[in-house]
Amino acid sequence: MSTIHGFEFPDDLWYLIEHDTWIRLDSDGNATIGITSLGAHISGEFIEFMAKPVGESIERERALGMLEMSKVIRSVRAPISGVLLGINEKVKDTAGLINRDPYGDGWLARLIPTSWETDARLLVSGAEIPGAVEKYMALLAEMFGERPS
Amino acid sequence: MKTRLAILLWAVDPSAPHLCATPFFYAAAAAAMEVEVEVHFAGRSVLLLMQGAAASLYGAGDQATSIYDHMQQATRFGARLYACSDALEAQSVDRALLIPELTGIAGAAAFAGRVLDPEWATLVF
Repeated sequence: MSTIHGFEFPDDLWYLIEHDTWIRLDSDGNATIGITSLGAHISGEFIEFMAKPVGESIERERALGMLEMSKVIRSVRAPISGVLLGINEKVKDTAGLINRDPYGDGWLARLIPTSWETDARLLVSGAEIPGAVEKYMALLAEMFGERPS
Repeated sequence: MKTRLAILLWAVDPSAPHLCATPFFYAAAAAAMEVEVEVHFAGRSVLLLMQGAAASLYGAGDQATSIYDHMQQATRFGARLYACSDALEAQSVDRALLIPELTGIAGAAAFAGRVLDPEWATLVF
C-alpha cells in the first residue's frame, strides 16, 4: 500500500491517475473499476452514480457513467476499453459508499476487458504510483492554489 | 438508452433565478455520460445569454455557484447552447453581447425536429 499525503493507493491495483480511477484485474479475467481515495476526497460527498447500460462497449478514457455531487457533476472515465459487465448496486443505492470505502464496497463497475495488454501499459502501477500521484497533486495545486489534504 | 437530449428553456427566466440552475445541471449530468446535449433558449430565457447576466444570478440557497457556473459546467461536458432568433429580437438582445459559450441560433423548427426524432429525448423547463 502506498500512502501519499494521507491518501492510500493499494499496490495491487492499476491507476488512471488523472481521471482518479483504479482498476483491478480479477481472477475471472474481468476487471473491477472504482474511484481513488484522492479522487473521492477532492470530489466531495457523492450523491448519485449513473452508469451506461450493461452490455455497452466503452473505449478507454471515454465515459462509463457520471457521478453527482452537490452542484457538481463529474464524468467517470474508463481506465481500459471493455464491455460493461455490471454495476455496483450498493453504490447505486448509497453513493456515499464511494467516499467511505473507495477500494472496497465503493467500487463502481465491472468490465470485460477487450484490449487489456495494450491498455495496461498506459496505466500506472507498482513503483510508479508515488511519482505519478505526486505529479498529479502538483497539477491540482497549480489549478486550485492548494494541494489536496 | 437514448444518447441525445434536447432541452428547451421556455419558462426559465432571470427574474426567477431559483429556477435557472436545474436545466443546466440536467444538461451537465447527461453530457458527462457523453450524451449529445442541446439546450435551446426561447422566450425570456435568452436574457440568460447576455454577457454578465447569468454570472450575477444564484439559485436558491447557493451563493457559491452562479447560474453561469452551471451553464459553463454543462458546456465543458459538451452541451451546445442555441438561442431562438425571434426571442432575441423580442427581448431586444444585442447579439454582439451574447456569451461566447453560445453555439448558434436555432428556432422552433429545430427543437420541434428534435421532439419528432425518435433518437432524441426532450425536456422542457
